[in-house]
Amino acid sequence: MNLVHNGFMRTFSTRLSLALVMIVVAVGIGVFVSSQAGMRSYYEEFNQKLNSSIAMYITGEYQLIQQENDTINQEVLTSLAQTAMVINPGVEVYVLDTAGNIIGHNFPVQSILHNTIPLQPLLTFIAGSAQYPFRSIDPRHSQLEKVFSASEIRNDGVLQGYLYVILGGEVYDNIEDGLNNSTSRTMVFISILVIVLAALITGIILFRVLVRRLSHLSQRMQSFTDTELNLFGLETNINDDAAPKDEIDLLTSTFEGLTAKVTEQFTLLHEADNIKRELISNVSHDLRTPLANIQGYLETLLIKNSTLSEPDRLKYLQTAMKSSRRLGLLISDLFELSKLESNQAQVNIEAFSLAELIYDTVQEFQLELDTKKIILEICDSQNNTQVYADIGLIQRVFENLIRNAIAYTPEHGKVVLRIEPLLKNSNRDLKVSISDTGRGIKEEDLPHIFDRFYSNSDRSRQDVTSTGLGLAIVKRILELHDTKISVDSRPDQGACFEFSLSTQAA
Amino acid sequence: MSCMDNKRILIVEDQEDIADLLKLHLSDLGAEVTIAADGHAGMRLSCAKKWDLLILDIQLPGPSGLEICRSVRRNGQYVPILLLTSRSSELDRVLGFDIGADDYITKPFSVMELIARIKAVFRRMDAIDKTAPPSQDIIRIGSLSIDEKLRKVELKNSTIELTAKEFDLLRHFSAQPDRVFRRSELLDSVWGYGHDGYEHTVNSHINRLRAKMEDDPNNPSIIVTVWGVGYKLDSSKVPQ
Repeated sequence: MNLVHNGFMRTFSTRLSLALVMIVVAVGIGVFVSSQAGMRSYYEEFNQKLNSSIAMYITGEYQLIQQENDTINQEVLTSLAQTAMVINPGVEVYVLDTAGNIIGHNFPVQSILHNTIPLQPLLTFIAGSAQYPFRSIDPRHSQLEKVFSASEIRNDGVLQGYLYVILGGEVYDNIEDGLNNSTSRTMVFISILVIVLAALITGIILFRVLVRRLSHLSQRMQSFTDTELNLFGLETNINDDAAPKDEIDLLTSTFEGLTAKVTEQFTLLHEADNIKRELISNVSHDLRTPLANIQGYLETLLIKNSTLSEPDRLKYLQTAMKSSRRLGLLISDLFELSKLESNQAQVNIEAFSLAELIYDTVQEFQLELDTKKIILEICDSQNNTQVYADIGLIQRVFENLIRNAIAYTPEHGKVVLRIEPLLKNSNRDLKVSISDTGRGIKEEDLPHIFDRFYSNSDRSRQDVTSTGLGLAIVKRILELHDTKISVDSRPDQGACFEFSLSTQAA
Repeated sequence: MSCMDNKRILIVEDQEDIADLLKLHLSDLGAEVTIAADGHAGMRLSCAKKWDLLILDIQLPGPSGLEICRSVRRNGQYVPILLLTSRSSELDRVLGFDIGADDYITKPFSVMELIARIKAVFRRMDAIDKTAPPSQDIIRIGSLSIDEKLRKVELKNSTIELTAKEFDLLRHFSAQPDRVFRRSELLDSVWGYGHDGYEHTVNSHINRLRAKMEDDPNNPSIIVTVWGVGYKLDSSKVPQ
């Protein structure tokens, strides 16, 4: 798993950098836009604050409404408008009656789009409780609201109307539209751009530096799982199919692989522990029996040494000897089984002739066969096919099964060893069967005969040479070859054991 | 007649009870027995005198029996060595690496069996001394030639690479062509280890020999099986 192969685009630091770019650019745009909006509002507020009293001054200086008949003094208004044009072209002056209707202005009639102005904003402004920027309808604009100044027009204290001064009229609108290429705006834009770029570069460099520690960690984890773990003989099943996209994915998958491994190891440890515990308890029980004999009879010999008759002395010594031999057999078998059951049991697979091994192994039992006058037949329908297995272990399997067959078969009985193909038209696996004409196995014992130390329910025929582990060893050896042993038997009808071996290297 | 009269035997064993037991029986048979109780003493004594037999326990304080065995072999003069092992891991090592010992026995052992083994070792040693050197150092059967001195094997004019035990096995067959040998005989003669459970190694080695020599190892014609009896080298089938 090499991140370089996945390309520059996929490393974690690249992702962080991309995220940074997006955020910073978004921030930059946001700042720019809000600053533009803010600028206008700021300007309006400033303008309104500066010129808030303009309406008041005007009404103080000029008599806009005739005192006598409440009509507009048009001359005054015109002269005012011209003065205003000179001093502050953005200011547009309107005279309203007490209901808010426009009664005086100096503009072309068709440019007036609203003839009535709502009074409430004016009143709020005049009361001084307005919050700047405070806008209201621009009579010459269909939609936009503008900041304004307003004051009452009183003659001798009687309210005759209002003065409504728009502080950013048509002229301003025109200029504003024309300011899209304004220097200030460009300057603001450029400075925001510069700041954004500086932030980006700093951020990316910083991320690279910080992420480096992360990639070191992930590299170390990678090399640990790839090399060092294998030294312990442990392999992880880190899923390479879901190709990791960046360092974080790599760390995650490695971590998951390792935790799975650790859990697996704990389970194995636990199992090994259980096996050990079981062995110890079994050992403890089955070793004590012959030991008890040895101790008992030797003690007896010590105590009664002077008074024992020669035949008795001989008998006790022989019993002690027999038990001690049995103890030796038991210990060998126990340790063999324990070695086979350990998770490190080694199986050396090689090709060999199964028939040859069987014939050679049977030769060793010739004496017992002759003594009990048992006929042993070997049928090889496969003409000496080679199998792939561990020769030593399979020899042990045959030894144990043949020994059992001879032990459980009465005189003049028969034992048959058969080699056949497992499936009718395939030579892939061979089936080996050993059947005897012995006393068979009871149905209730059948599922348990491969357990350690299982004594069949018929305890009266304890065979001295049987350690109770023979079949357990056979089962375990075959398990190590990925195959199983099966048994078929009925009381007094003999027993038939079957297992298969492969004719092909794994 | 005891073939152990005046044989000088060194026993290197730290377990006093076992050492005394061996000394008791071997002295009864007329041997002169010395005991060394640890590896250092064993190493010293083994080189100090000429012995007729060394019995070495593998687990020792100080240098192990295996180290003593190796050092004795390096010294040149051939002394028969018998190893006592108690752990199966040691056994694997002994059997696997061909330490150079003449025989081994595992504890617990039967005293009678041990005595029998020791007698067999002495018999073999005497036989080697008494036999005249073979008139031919090279055995030839057809195009098969086995050079005992150079330990080289040729078949159909090309050399075959064999391990030490494979060579010994082939030589044993070739020294008496067409004679059928039982597996147990081969184990005893070629390996010297006639032990239960180890016989399968004969099958392994025959397999490997066939793989190196036969045209079709699955249907061997040179080293053939005589079913129910054993194995032989069929001289008529050796390519000319």
